[in-house]
Amino acid sequence: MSKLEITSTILAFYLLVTFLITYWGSKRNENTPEDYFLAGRKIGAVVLFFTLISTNLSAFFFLGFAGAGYRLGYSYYGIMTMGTSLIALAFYFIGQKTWALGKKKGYITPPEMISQELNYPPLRVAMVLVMVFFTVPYIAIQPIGAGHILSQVTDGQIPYFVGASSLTLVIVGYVFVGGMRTAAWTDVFQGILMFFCIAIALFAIAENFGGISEANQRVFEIRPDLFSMEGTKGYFTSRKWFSFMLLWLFCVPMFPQMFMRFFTAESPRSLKTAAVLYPLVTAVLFIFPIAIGIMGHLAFPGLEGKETDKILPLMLNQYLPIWLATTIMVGAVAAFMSTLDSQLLALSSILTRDFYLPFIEPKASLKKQILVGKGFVVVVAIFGLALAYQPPATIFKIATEAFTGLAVLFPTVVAALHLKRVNPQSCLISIVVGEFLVVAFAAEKISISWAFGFLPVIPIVGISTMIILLGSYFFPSYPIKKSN
Amino acid sequence: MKSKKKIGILWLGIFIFFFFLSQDYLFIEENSRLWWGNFPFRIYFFFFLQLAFSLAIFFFCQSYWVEEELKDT
Repeated sequence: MSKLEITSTILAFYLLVTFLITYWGSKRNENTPEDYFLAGRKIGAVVLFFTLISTNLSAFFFLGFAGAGYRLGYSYYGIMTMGTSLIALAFYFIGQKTWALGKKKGYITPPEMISQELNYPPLRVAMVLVMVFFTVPYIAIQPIGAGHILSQVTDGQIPYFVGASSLTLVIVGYVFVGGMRTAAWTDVFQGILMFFCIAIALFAIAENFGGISEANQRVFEIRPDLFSMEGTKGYFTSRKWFSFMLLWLFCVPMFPQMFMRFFTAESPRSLKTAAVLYPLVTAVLFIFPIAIGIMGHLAFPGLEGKETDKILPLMLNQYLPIWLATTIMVGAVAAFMSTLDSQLLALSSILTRDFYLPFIEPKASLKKQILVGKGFVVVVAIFGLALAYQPPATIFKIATEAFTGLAVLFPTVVAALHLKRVNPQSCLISIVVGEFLVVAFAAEKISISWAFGFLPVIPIVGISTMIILLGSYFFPSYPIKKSN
Repeated sequence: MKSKKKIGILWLGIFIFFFFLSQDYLFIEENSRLWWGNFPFRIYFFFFLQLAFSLAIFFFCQSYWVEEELKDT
């Protein structure tokens, strides 16, 4: 069998299973926005855990982690694992309250909830703008990655844009038909697939060097800096460690596709289970791609910049039989798909509930809302695909800044959920000032030295928090009473 | 219930403090050889730490369970 035939067969099998899950899930659908966008708020503990982790880990987990391991060494594992573990705290401090409010008041999207809780509609507009602006480039990056993977695995026999378009079409198909329920169920399958694939990849590759211990020893002899806590060139100073520990806690729950998962839980027990499992699973899972990246120095020394992100496919092609390499890359495709489906659904629900409903047709029926939501799934996917056709450099720049850009919303969300007296105007100002600082740091209008050695996210979130606290303390005269 | 919540947050806060502090202990100068894998950190301690963090969250959730807070929402 040729490379193309093997890849097509394995991919077809994977897509067949995905479609079967979609078919199974769609039979249980009810025709309401709550059911389409939030799976009727009936996602159980196991499915919720898998959908949270699969949605969070895009193909960046496969390609980006391996590349970062190659560049920075094992310090990246420590930072990513411990930092990602802290996201579990958000499941409780943001998730449980979000779940409770959603259940009680019928909220479907984060901007809807925060603006109504603070009784201040401009916040809704601000949150929608921030979430859409920073999520769309991320959506475009998913088909870009999938297209490149398929092209690499088949030595270009599946051209980049054909691969990107086909997979996007598949995702649009199952999100269109099944909504959140099928997205969550396919996340379980895709999550299990990618976990097994990446684990098998490490053991199979290490076997070529005499096992993991031997491979690590050999890398240590040529590049001991990859084994230091500071990483190569002393990149991870203590302030950077501290920044990365908090970065994910601030930004990941603010991704609309993650935030909306909190509404879907069947009960608080589901959130609790996810919070307890999250640190354990990341500790096991993250070691695999990073170790593969580090072992890459034994076979492909001297890669630099973006080339390092290709280290995983390079290692797979070099050391594994084609059928195994392809199966593992299908795991990477699954990681892309599990993120993209959730992003499409999250943005379509935000555009329906926070844009179409209040500004275009406030009295739209429930059926109409679902129809509009499905329409937005297609529109957003086409938009993302159009950007992926010839991606402008700014896409990657914006996507890089997306973490910090979304983290700006964190203080507002926490204040709205937990403080008794919040001045909503101060929340709006904190978002505007925070985003201004994000742009200024990214455009180097503000020198990075003003971050005092931390990542910019730390001073930016700090300033946003201070604005809310001071505004709520000194100007409590605004109608600060939360909505009933 | 409020005192239970305070105890829960205190317990979690103390743990996170040690979570941050423990990072210096995680990495070692040379390959550890203390456990399987020749990783540059005390991998058994790393997993223990993550497990302890999970347990901290579990006990926190137990001490101030979410249904109680739902009544206040």
